[in-house]
Amino acid sequence: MKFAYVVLALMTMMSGALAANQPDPAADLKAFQGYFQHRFPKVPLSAYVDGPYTFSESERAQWKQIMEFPPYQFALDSGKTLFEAKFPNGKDYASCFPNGGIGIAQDYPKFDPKTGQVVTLGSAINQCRVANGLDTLKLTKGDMADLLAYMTYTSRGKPIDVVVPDDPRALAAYQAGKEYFYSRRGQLNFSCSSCHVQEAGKHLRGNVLAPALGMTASFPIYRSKWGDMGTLVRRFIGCDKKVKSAPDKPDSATYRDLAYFLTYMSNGLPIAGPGARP
Amino acid sequence: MKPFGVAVMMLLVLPGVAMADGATKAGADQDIALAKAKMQAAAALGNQWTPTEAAFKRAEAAEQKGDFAAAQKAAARARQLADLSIGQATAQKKLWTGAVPH
Repeated sequence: MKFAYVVLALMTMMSGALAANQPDPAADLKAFQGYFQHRFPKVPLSAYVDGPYTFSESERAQWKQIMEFPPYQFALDSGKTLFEAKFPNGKDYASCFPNGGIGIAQDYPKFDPKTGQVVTLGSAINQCRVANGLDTLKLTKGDMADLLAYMTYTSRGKPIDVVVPDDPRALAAYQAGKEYFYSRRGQLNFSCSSCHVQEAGKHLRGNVLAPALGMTASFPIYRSKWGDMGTLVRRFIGCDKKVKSAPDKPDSATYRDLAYFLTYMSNGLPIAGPGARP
Repeated sequence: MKPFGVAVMMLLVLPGVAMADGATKAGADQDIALAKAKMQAAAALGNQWTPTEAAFKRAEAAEQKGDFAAAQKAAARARQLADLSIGQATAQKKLWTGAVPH
């Protein structure tokens, strides 16, 4: 009888330990957003989409002045032209997406059950091009950033709604993105979370560190440092290089999974892109 | 026949020629190969460092120029950095969970 109790207790403990290791995106989301709400109780959730300007009054005032003539306007115009242009076969981008590609950015990245991979909006645009006999675009800047700027603009104000389905491959991709986000890397021994969770809102030299919460909502961005538009993956690559870690390829599963996790953490916050950052 | 004989002699002797500081091409090649193996291990863990890549490039460039001492020094540096990145990646496999907000 004693032996049966011991076995039962062990089984209960083991199932508890296994449960702790299982990805639980909903619980993560609650804890992640709760962390920021607890740390900055006066900041409403929706304000996090303003990135570093969430915390600094003076910089926020300057940014608002800049936004009177948004520096990304040229990308919106170019993106709309590119989006509406016909492919040589007579089709267009609209033919590849639900709702003609309008107002759908809040649903990306998505898990594709056919391939078992995460698809970002950028990689979906490239899939559309390949399906129509065109070459892929560079995922970091240029035409891709302009197309993303336009498509994201049509989703402005819509709440981010990334879904992690109950599929082991989707959960594995989510977990891989989560592990990447919290793992220290590079010679400087920083993780994404070192700057954008633990030190969010603090100064790093002259810059205020943007919070990870709401971060993806404003991409693509016009960055003054770049003097150009850039996508989220461009920023990932820049961060990796900054901590002296060799970056992955822009369309790597690593970066797509990272985008999946990070965007999911901002579920419910409104799309604010394209954005402008220092 | 004479030039051929000289060429054969040079081929036999050159790989073993020690520079004034004791560095040889064979030694440099061996150190570069060791660094490369460590870097492959770091890459397999998804954690290559950019200074490792830079040191390795320096080693290869120095070897090409025939500066075997510099090549060995840079290769040793690349290997050391790759070792550190492997250690970091291995440790982070367990430690990353400590950074997750609960």
